[in-house]
Amino acid sequence: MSDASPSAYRFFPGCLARTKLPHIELSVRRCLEDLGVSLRDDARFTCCPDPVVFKSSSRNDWLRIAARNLSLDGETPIVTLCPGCASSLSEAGLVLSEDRGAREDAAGRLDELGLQIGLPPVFHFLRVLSADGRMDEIESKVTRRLDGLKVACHYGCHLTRPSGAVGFDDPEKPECLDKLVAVLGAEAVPYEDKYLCCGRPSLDEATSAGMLEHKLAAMKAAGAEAIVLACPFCFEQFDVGQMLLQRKTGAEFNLPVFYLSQLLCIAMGSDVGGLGLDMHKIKTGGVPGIG
Amino acid sequence: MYTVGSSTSEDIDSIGGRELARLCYSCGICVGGCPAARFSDDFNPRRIVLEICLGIGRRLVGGGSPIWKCTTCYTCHERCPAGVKPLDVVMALRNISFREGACPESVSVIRKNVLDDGVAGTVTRRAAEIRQKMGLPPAESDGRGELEALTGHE
Repeated sequence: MSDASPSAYRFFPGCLARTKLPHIELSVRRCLEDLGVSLRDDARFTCCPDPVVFKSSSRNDWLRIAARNLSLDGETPIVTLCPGCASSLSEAGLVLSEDRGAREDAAGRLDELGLQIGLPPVFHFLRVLSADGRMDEIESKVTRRLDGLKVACHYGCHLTRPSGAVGFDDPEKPECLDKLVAVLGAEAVPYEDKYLCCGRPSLDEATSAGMLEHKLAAMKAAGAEAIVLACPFCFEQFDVGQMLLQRKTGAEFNLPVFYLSQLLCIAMGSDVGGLGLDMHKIKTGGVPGIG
Repeated sequence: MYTVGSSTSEDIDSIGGRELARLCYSCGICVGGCPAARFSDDFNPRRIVLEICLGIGRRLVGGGSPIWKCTTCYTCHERCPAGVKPLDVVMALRNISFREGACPESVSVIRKNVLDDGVAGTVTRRAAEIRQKMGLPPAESDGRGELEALTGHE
């Protein structure tokens, strides 16, 4: 994955982190900057728009708004903390490059805003971390190994799909998270239905809750002590959703949830107290090597 | 030309990849990999594509339709051996439902948030304070106000 090796990116925070998960955003910015990746903010970025709910209202409007985000500032690559944003912007970029009619429609709209279509590369931050050489760099900066910690890696759906637009890792059996947690010393335990969706994007509550419960039970059965992921929607599902599920059913999974970047910050020496872990609904205090 | 029921819908045709739906030979691989099919009783992407091809898909439009159970995981998109894009068909049906004013409330709410503020969620005072304390830039988008002009007039 040598294509995500530049050291300067525009940072695309996405809506859920912006509005509800500032501690996640903090950890992603910090671990990238600690690895020498420079990030530039652009307050003009809007919602990508999201590939689930907004796109359900109008694919045309989704494409035009995505085209605006892509076209704000030339070809400087964009890095996101959300797989949904990376997938949505990448898919829109592919449509704009392949579908002449859609491109002309978007170009006409953007012209009114004084913008010309741009198609910069868009990467999720895991892809930046997985680029050639960065894994070694991370290993050299780890001062607090998470040896012995058993984690369940959850990839979610949009990190690698649609693969024709995203082009990162294996679309159905990705490995990047497993590799990164191994560098930190933690053990990624195998578990049933590891690559299954968390359920969050389904707009049907029962479908969503059924998937969440199934995954939590599988992670617990495999001996996981924590969940590691890199999607703000999956984070909400496993953290807030797990709390609500436990309240409703009386089940006791109590599996703390970490964004990969949080573990990275901790392993690279960040003060745990400054990472906002107290904002997690499932308490992280008892996790070996972290509390 | 595909239809969703008694009336022919240009929407289904206007969305990329729809012409490929007729290539579906009902192998069912999309159902086998579909989490929403596995965890619900009535979401079935193979059947949805078939109903659209046959022009009997009117039942699939509306707020109570099974289409809203889809998790947009793209597994069907990845695995389909015929290049059909079942998720695009589901999205087309959702777009038609929205246009007819028959969709879950969350779709209208999030769309309005995005068009009004540029951001899908609401920035609470607490979140703003925490962001400031953490040294993060404000959550608001300067792009608000530019998006309405981009929408509509298909």
